[in-house]
Amino acid sequence: MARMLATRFASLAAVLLVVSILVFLLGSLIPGDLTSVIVGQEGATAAQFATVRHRLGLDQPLPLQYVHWLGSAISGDFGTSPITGRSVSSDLSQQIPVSAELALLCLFFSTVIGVPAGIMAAVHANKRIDVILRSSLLVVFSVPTFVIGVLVLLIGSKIAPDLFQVSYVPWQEDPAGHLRSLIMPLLTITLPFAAMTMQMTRSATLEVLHDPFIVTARAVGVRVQRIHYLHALRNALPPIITFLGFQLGVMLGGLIVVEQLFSLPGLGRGMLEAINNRDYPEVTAATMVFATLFVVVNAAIDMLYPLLDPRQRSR
Amino acid sequence: MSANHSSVVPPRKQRRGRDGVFHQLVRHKSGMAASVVVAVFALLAILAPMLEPHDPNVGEVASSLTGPSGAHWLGTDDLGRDVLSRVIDGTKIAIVVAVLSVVIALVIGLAIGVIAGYVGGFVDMALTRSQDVLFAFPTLLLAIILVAVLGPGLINASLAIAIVYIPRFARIARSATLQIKTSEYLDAAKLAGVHPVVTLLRHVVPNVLPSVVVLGALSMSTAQLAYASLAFLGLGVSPPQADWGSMLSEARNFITAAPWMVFGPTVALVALMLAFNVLGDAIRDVMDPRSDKGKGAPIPTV
Repeated sequence: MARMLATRFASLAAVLLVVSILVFLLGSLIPGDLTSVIVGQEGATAAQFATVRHRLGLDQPLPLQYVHWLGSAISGDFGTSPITGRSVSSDLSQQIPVSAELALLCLFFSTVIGVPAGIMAAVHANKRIDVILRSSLLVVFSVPTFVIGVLVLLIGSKIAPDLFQVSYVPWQEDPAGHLRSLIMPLLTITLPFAAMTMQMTRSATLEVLHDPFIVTARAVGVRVQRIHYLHALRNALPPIITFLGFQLGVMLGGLIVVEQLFSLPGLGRGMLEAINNRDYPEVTAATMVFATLFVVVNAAIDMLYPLLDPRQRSR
Repeated sequence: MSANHSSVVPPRKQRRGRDGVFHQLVRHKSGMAASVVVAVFALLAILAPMLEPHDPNVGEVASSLTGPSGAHWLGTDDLGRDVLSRVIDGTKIAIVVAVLSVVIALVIGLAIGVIAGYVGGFVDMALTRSQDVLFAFPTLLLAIILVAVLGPGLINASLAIAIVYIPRFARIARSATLQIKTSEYLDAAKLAGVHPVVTLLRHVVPNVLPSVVVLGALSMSTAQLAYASLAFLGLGVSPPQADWGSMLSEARNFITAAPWMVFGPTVALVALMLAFNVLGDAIRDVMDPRSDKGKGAPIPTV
């Protein structure tokens, strides 16, 4: 077990290292030199350019720049944005909580909705409720996140214009208003994710529903709900969780779209803004945060697997 | 479709080694319906200049943000441009990006996968590992970053989506290559002294192609969707050109004043995506005998 964890951690570190190289390279490839942004293209002398380049360390060879960047990135320093003049880390520390709150709420609601709905669909497979659940799911699947968002906005502004608040309100200013401002974004991002969770729960539960231990439990006289929600779900859990990890990428993509759509000051919107401004320290930092999260969560799920499925432990 | 449907289509020569894929596709009901929808969109794209009731990029400020009427069936946008004309004009973008990105990803992924699987050893490890790195990024994020590096536009967006998709094609091509690598006809070719490159092109690629083409067919709808998302985020074609994703992003700003702006692009986007999706499933049913018909999980959206 310990040895397995050690190799997993080692490979995780290796992947993150390669990802950081890639992100750094992509960042330095973004067109538009940082110096010209700072100095301003008109009337700047070559000497001014050289000074700024030297100050930013851009006159050093690329590998050396990378080592510097990685060194400060690990300690949480992603440099200063040439556009806003603020430190990138302070921007990140304001953006990440917004995105994290949305992501965690989405995970919570899609689990609370998707898992019971999936079990219900599996238990009543091919009956009316299953067909209704699955066809409504197909609709949600077929519509991209931003279309769902625009439709949520459209319908929301019609039926409850005062309930649906479009602009974002920070928690510190007005907790109730904050929650209200999250209703529409949350609805948008949770719908497809809950649908995916339901679909996966349904098929994973169907797999185990006819296993001998379920039949035994039923024959012994265990309550049906207890069988479905305890025994069946417990055994269907590993594939569901793996799938959720896999879908995290989809959710992060959805997060970027939703933040842009509802003007939430999160990491995704910050990144898009930075791309438009050619603010590459900000772009690389945001990308690195997203990619690290994605890689770490998937690795964590890999390590969780033996805990959920005892049969995996002996290997 | 009627039972005597096969009589409608004149018998043709079966394509070598494909077991009449075309025939089977014609008999596949949902596949046929989806093909018709895709064909209608393709016609819309080709005949756009003739079908557009107004110039899609020129509007009259006087008639901006007017609702659906006889002159403007789907209303006008904030610049007084006809929404219907813009929806029609956006069709070509959607189709070109879906086809272009999938074809690029298919060709490069096929090449990488076949070479990795056939050559093996260090080459295989290097190619496979470098692909794995791309899996470390959420797909839309990777596409956004690539567009940021390449710059926005039709070709660059297609290229970005293609790069995101290459690993999937390479992975499938590699495993298919590994499966046939040990087959006797490859040994025979080797013994007969056939040049490895010729063996690859004549014996390996044709056998790997079906599974890659199936993935390509299934990827069309997600590619179209990925592009629409990029366009919605402002990373698609440049502004005057109509585009469903960016039209929706404009519609969002006038959601209370001009809700009709949402209708056209949404319907077009979802209809084409569903059609691509069903057509992809049909092609998989026909070309991949191992697949269970209709059992495939829906493709997750971006």
